[in-house]
Parts: sequence; C-alpha cells; structure tokens
Amino acid sequence: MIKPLSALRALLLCLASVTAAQAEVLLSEEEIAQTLAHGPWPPAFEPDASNRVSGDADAIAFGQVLFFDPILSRNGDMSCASCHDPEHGFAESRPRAVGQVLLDRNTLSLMNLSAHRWFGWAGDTDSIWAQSITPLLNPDEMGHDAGSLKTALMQSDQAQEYSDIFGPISEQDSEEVLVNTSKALAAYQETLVTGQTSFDLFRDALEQGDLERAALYPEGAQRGLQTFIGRGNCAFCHSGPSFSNGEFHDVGVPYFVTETRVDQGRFGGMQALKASPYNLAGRYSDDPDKRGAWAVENVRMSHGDFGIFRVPSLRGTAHTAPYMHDGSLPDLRAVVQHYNEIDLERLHADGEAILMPLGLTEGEIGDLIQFLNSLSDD
Amino acid sequence: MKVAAVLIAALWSSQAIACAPAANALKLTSEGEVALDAYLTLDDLPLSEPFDMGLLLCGDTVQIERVDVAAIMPAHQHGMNYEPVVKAVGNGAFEVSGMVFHMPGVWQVQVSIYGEQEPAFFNLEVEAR
Repeated sequence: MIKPLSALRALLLCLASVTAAQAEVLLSEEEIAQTLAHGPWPPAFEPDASNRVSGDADAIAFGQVLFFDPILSRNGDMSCASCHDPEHGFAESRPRAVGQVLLDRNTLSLMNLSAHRWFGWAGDTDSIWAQSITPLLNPDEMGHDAGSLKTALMQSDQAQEYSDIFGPISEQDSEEVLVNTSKALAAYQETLVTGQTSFDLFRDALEQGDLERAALYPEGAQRGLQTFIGRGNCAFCHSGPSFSNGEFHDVGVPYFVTETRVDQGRFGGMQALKASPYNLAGRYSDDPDKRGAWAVENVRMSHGDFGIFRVPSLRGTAHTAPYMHDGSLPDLRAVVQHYNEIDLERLHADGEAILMPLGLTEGEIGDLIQFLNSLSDD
Repeated sequence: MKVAAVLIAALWSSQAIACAPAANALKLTSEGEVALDAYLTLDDLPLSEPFDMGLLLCGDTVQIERVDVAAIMPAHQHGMNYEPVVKAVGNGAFEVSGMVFHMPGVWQVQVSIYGEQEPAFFNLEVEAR
C-alpha cells in the first residue's frame, strides 16, 4: 500500500477494532478503513473552471427557471424536468425516457453531477454544460437547433434575464446563446447535491473514533456494507465518496435495444465525445488552462467499450428506480438479484474478470438492500 | 489485456548516467537480464483521479528511442482507460502523467523500453486504495 494512513487515523482504527464488539460496530479494522474511503460527504463546492457562471447566484436562479421552462423544447411540449423529475431524484419512473419518441436509455439522476468526469450513460460529454446541450439538440428529445433556441429565448420572458447575465442576446450568435444557456442550466444542476445520510453519520463517527455513535447505524446495514466492500465486490466500481469510479463497465445487461439494433454504449459515447465541439479541449471551455482536456485527448478507445455503460453513483439511488442503462431492473432487490445470479455468458469475453454469481442468502440480500437504502435517507 | 501507452519521443541517449534514485523510489523488477535499473517515484495514488509518476532509468550506455508505460490489474484482466504521457526530462529521468487507477486493488505498472538494443521490460505492483 502506497498511501499511508495518518498516525491519528491509525490510532483511531486501532481503538475501533479493540472495542468494536462491545460498541456493536461489526466492522474489522480493514473494513473500517475501506468505509472511510466513501466519504466525507457532501464535498465542498468547487466551481467548474470551464463554466464562467458556475456558482454564480444569478446564473443558478436563471438556470433553475430554464430547467422547468418548456421553451427549451422546440415544440414547447417538454422541459428538462419532464424527464428529470425533482420528485424522483431528478430521474423518472419510466424504464426508458420518452422524448419525441421512446428513447433507448433510462433517465439518469442529476444529483451530485459535479462528482463525475463523464456524463450520460455513455460519457458522450465531459462537463455538465456540454451534457445539457445534448438533449436540447437531439431531434428525438427537445429538438432545437442553436438558431431556434435563440429565437425561442428572445421571444420569451427569459430574454432580459439572459442578457443581464451573458450580455445582449440579440448581439450574440446562436451558437454562443446555446452554450451560455447550457452553462446556466449547469450552474443550477451543480446545486443538486444529496445531503448527509445515516451511512455518512456512521462513517464520520468511525473516523472520529466515536463508536457509541457509530453503533447507532443498524447492524443489518453494517452487514450489508460488509458485503458491499467484501465478497460482493461492489466497491471495486462503486468506489469513493460518490460510490462511483466514474468509469464504464460491462455488468451483463443486454445492449440490444431491439432484435436488430444495439446500443453502442461507451464505444459510441467516446466517438461523440471526441467529435464534439463542446468538449473540454474545445473553444467553448472558459478555462484558460483547459483542465480536463487531457482526458478527452488521452482516453483510450477499445473494442471492449462496445455496449458498456457508466457506473452510476449510489447516493440517492433508492429514489431513482428503475435501474441500469435500459431501466430493465425495477427495484434495488432486482439489481442485487442481477448480481447474485449474474449470467456470465452475457459478459464480454475480455471484460471484468471479478464478476461472478454472488450466491447471497435472502438475509444477506436484505442486508445489502438496507445498506443501499441508507445512502438515500438524507 | 495489456495496455499500450504512450510515449516519448525524443531520442535519448545516456552515457554513464549518474543515477540517484529518490529515497522513496521503488525499484522495478526486470523481465530477464537487462543492463538497466528502473525506479518509480509515486507520491500518491488517488483512486480514479489522474496522477503523475517519476521514472528513472539507471545503467550502462544505451540508446533509448521510446519508453511506454502501461498498467494492468492482473486479477481483473484489464488495464487503464487512459493513455499516460511519458516525457523525457534528461539524465535518464522521465515524467509520466495521466495515470488513472480507476479501481481499488493491485495494479501492475509496466515499463517497456525500446531502442537499438533488445527491448527491456520492467514491472512493479502497487496497491490503490
């Protein structure tokens, strides 16, 4: 191990393990160390350098108004919130989203977006603002082009607010209006952050060596956590404070949309990313240092990217059923059951080698679900 | 799958290198008889975040035309999702940037050195947490 624990943390871990039994903290010293890696939460806000209005109060307020305004769809029949329902964790209950047609994928939650490097199920984009452009321009979703969006904004009640933040809209070309609009939407979405959950209280108590407080976390959730970081192998991908490594994996969910059409997943996403004028290596990033461009330029393309999808965060996940890129699993029990009985025949031959049926008992499944729910009780 | 990585460029020639690995440098294991020693300096291994490494090559005169750096997870049978960039900074030293270990566990860093002589290969296992 390269990363040493601090002396203080090591002492706390020692104390924790010595007194764990009496305090009803079930975790071993090693498990406590692994648990600490899933926090602290929430993270401090860091403005997105590629978005000059990130964190700006006026832009956030404007972005919020736009988010709920159907003028962002060409025919005026849907807003961002039509699919990203605030009452459903900014996702929706339909398995697959419906825009102008039935779309191929489940609506992803918009919570905790700042934790990501890539956006969307396939990582077509590398910033929240670039991701916000995608549905605006997709003919199957909101259906605008840059020109129609500018016209709609100029004819709406939002024209003055836009101009107050970004300058006179009438003097800007439509592409600039499109990008600015997406940056206001991004500024709002950056504020959508889940709060401290019972898991976080447990984790923080462990860090502070307060085992009495840590023991308030239900034993079932603790056992579920042990499975999560142990033989479940969940934490290999669902790692870190956001419970996602932000990358893309094959987990045996079919990528055939119909019998004759496939969802290319990350493979198509990477092609879209590299071709996009809105990526972080491009001229629309406001960051003079072009941080983030390295990822666009150095991300590897391989045949194994075909039909794989981004690892979603598990924070707030209890509110965002159904699950997986195609919304094919209706609830958390179905997700756990998927991994419990995973069909190895569905996995890429050269894919992740650690996936195998878990063989969890009903009790263990219940514990794991209890743990997952504890990531959503803020 | 073995991941290819990056690369370097400039023809780098080392004559009687005065080698002084940092105190915290980790010596890589060579594959076979190699007239070089290789050391990595890793200050931190942030999970799922890009990090840099220092690579130092020590040894006899050798013409090095290219240095590739890759990393794989042996137990998982996959490599990194990014191509690291290797930059020669002189006297056998290289800066390796854009490494990303996107999963916790044991990673094997692989260094391949190409030039006029037989290619030389080194590896080192490290754990990301």
